[in-house]
Amino acid sequence: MMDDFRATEIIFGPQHPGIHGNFGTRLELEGDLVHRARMVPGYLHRAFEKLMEQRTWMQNVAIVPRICVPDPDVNEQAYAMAIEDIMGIEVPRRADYIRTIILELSRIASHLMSLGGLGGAIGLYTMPMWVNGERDYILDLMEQLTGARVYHIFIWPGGVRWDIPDNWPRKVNKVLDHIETMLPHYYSLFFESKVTDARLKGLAPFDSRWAVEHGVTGPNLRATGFEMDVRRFDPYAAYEDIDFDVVTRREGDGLARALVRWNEVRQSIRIIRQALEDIPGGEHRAKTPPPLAFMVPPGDSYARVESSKGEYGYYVVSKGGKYPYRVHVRGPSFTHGIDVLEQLLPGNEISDVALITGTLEVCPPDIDR
Amino acid sequence: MVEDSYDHTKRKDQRTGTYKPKNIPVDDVMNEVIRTFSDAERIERKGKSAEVVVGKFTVSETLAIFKKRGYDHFVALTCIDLIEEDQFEMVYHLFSYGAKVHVYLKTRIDREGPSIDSVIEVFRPAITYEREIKEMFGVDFPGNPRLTQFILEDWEGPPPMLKDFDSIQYVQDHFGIKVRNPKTLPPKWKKAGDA
Repeated sequence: MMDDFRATEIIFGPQHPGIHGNFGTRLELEGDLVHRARMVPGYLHRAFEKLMEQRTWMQNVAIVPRICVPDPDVNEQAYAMAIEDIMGIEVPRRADYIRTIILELSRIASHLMSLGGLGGAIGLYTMPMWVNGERDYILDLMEQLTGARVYHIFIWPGGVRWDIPDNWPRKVNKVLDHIETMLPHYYSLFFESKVTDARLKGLAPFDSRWAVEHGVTGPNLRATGFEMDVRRFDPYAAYEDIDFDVVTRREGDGLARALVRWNEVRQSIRIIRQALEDIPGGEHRAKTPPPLAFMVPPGDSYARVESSKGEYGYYVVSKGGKYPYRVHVRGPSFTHGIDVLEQLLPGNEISDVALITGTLEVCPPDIDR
Repeated sequence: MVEDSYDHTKRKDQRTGTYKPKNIPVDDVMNEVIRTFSDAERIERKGKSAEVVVGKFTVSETLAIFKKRGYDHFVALTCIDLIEEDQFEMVYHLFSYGAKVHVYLKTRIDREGPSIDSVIEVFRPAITYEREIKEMFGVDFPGNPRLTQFILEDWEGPPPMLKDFDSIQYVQDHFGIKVRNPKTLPPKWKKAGDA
């Protein structure tokens, strides 16, 4: 039994500068060690699932990217894939390649941002400044292609909204070259720092069996040595034609999770270069009903994609007609951010709470939805 | 000094080797499920997915069979409000990392006093999904210790994800906002007996 007189309860977040996004944690402390943690989500609840039942199929395309701010395109892709599966739409190959390029650009931006966040959490403040600069180049590319910086609303059921402009691939290559030359600098800044080593090594480790039992997916699962990537085992878009490595580490601790993300940036650059090179000609959009008369026949389908945080899935149920009957969003942070964190935090120091949340890359909007 | 009443090195010792996924075809597992439970019914699906409908009381046992045969990734738990049939449909999404097949395990429960046994003894990640469904649909899960307030703070209205919860009416009643142009509103779902 814990001694009541020595236990302190503090509310950590959502205003704490070290917390990763808008959610809170109630921590019961003994000294500065966490005895019990209870996550408090809900600050970002915008009732997307309810709202989507009251909007038409195509109006929802503009709603879904808002569910995850750093990595919005996976939402559009998964939503589109689920509808295409119910309707039996064959997506043109060119659209698949364009989708792959967008998804990977988004992954680079998201991974860099999460590493920047980790840098901020351990006191290396140069890191967030630099990586947000790189992210901005990617947002510029997105702006040129889609007209929007953060929420692109570009991947539609049936393809993408329009074709890529002529000079766009050259600009993408320029940005990729720049990021690639900067990567070694980031490595020496972040991973060769003694602070990173001291703070992240051995932080909140778990093995593959524990991870699978607790529903851990994505980079956090690959950091335990289990080679599992939706892009490889259930390929969508153009991933089956593209040569890339699934990055794994064996240690399963905080440093391994950061290193997996780090190495995935290189793989994403590799994927985008191949996709730009091999992109076939043809249509960028399949023939679909006009948006105002878009109807989906009765049926249900679950579509999964690999986001920068883990497995992202959309379960779409249609009963026919202009409106979805039910859309369930399976965000990776729904398991990582509640149950997994509540089990990983006890026993760690209070100064590591924000860091563990950061290495798991918890994204609160996809818990709340 | 802090008493070491809990062991924070425990998890490090539990790291026992790597995990090897089992690759058992979904047809074999489905046949086993249908042999074991007379009320289980398989529904054909295209692609790398399978669907089985089971009775409300055999969900845990069926999930345990799937888990034992390598379908051990609990993807999600979805609740669907089938208001016209006066039922809830619970969809348990499973995935096998070895066979790479997605399984939809469906069951129906009554909409009046909805309750279904918790499956957290079989699949731990269900704990948060059940907690959310309790709040959003009002379904009770006996056996789940964490059915506490989740994301709706100080909510006193009916469960908001129910089809007969009219969010526009709620906004008009509680926030004094008049919603204009009601012609564009989606259809309202009603129970079969209601006019």
